[in-house]
Amino acid sequence: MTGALIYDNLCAFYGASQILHGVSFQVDKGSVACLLGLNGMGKTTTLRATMGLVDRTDGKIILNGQELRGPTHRRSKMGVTLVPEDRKVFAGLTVEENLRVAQRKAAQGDDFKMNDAIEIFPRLGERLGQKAGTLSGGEQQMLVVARAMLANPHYMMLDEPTEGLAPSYVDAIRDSIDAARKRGIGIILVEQSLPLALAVGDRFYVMENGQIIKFFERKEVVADPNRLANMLTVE
Amino acid sequence: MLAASLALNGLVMGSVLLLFSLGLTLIYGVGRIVNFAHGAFFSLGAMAGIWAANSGLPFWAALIVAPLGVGLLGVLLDWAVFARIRDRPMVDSLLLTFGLALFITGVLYEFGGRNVQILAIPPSLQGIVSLGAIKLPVYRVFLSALAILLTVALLLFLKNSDWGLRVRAANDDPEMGACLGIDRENLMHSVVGVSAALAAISGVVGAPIFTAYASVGDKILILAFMTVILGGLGSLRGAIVAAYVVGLITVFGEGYFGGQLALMLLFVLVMAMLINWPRGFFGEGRTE
Repeated sequence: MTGALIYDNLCAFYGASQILHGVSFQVDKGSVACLLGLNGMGKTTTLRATMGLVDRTDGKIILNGQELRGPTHRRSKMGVTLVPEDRKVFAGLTVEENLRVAQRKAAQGDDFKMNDAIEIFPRLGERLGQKAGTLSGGEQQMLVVARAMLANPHYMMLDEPTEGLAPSYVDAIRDSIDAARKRGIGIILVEQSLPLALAVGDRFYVMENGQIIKFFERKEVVADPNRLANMLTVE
Repeated sequence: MLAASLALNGLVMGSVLLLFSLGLTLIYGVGRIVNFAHGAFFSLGAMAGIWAANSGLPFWAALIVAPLGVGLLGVLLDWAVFARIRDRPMVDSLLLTFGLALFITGVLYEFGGRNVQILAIPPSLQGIVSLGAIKLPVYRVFLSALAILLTVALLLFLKNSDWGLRVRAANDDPEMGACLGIDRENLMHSVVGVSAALAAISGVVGAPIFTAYASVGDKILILAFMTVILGGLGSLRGAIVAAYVVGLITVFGEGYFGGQLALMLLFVLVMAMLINWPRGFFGEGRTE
């Protein structure tokens, strides 16, 4: 499908260790695909492989009909960006500089601008001149999500964006996902918190040992949430 | 009077160290390369001053040509050599840049760098100025002013330009910078180029005081490494304070106790910092 982000038998390696064993799935523009599974199953590696941050990959990732390959900055300019699990603000830069360094023009449609980011995350607007390293954990998470959106990507990958956050921050992250979706940005969400995944997800992929072992459409999960929850429980 | 004279010389030394160390800090910060060849850039600058003088060119010509030439060499070295070991273990960059430093020093040795030479101070910068009871050599005032001016210019450019914003972001987190579209390779070419040019300027302006020969950059490299360790690896404001601390300790130590004791004092300070405060004066350096 034109515009889709397609994973075709993706394998990924750290050194001699193979972490992903043929991952295949698809995310459409403006939709949210949730990658779920227990720790160590390959979810984060899937995101890092998309950005070219693993040692080696086999298989293909297709974005807008073109193979996603090359160094990380080139992949980013092709239209994917990552919000990593450990936040990774530029600690020595101010909030405003963190946002400005990411700003790029959208390939199509209206640009997502700094004012739009501040509208979604008013707290950031109050702290534009503050060093990002001095923000609270929740504020840093807002910043990295806003920063990723300012890159105006086609696809945004969020790795555990609500881990350890207070409920008010979780709501803000959910609002940002909704805003991104309305702009046609496709999202891959890796999330341990099932409530958020169930609230925003369109498709649900369960990973185990570096493979996708099960796929659910939203209507299936809504009809029987326990089916998905049971697969994510350690017995 | 001795203390005042030593303080002036310490500030001069600190200013040269600052100009030299900022480049070392940036190269480490953005590229995670501990650049042992940085001292060779200083030597190249100093020798360029001598070559210019021997060719009948004025001091000012050397001050323009040397940073351009050495800066271009820095860009080429990063493209041809440093880029090949990016993201490899730090020991690789240590060994590779150490070998590169030996190579450049060897070349300089064969092209006029065997003997210690002193670059003549241009006539317009000779003489003494009086500041109350303290008499200051004009050239040392010029050297300090130039180093401070260039440092401030660099810091302002880092603070206010798009290039500077990308450099500071990549300095904080190169991987995240790349995820947001920052082309680290091209950025590193320019960072090494600018850093090499600054080291070359240090070499040219330092040649009338620190002399010029093939390995003149070695001593300042050791002091610069102490500077970046005390300031914290990758910390720009740490490097600024540490450069003057190292400059003043070196000069006061040499003045009162002799050169070796001054170095020993610095080594003790560096060891104490590494053991107790490995992130440097402001606690913002890296500890890979």
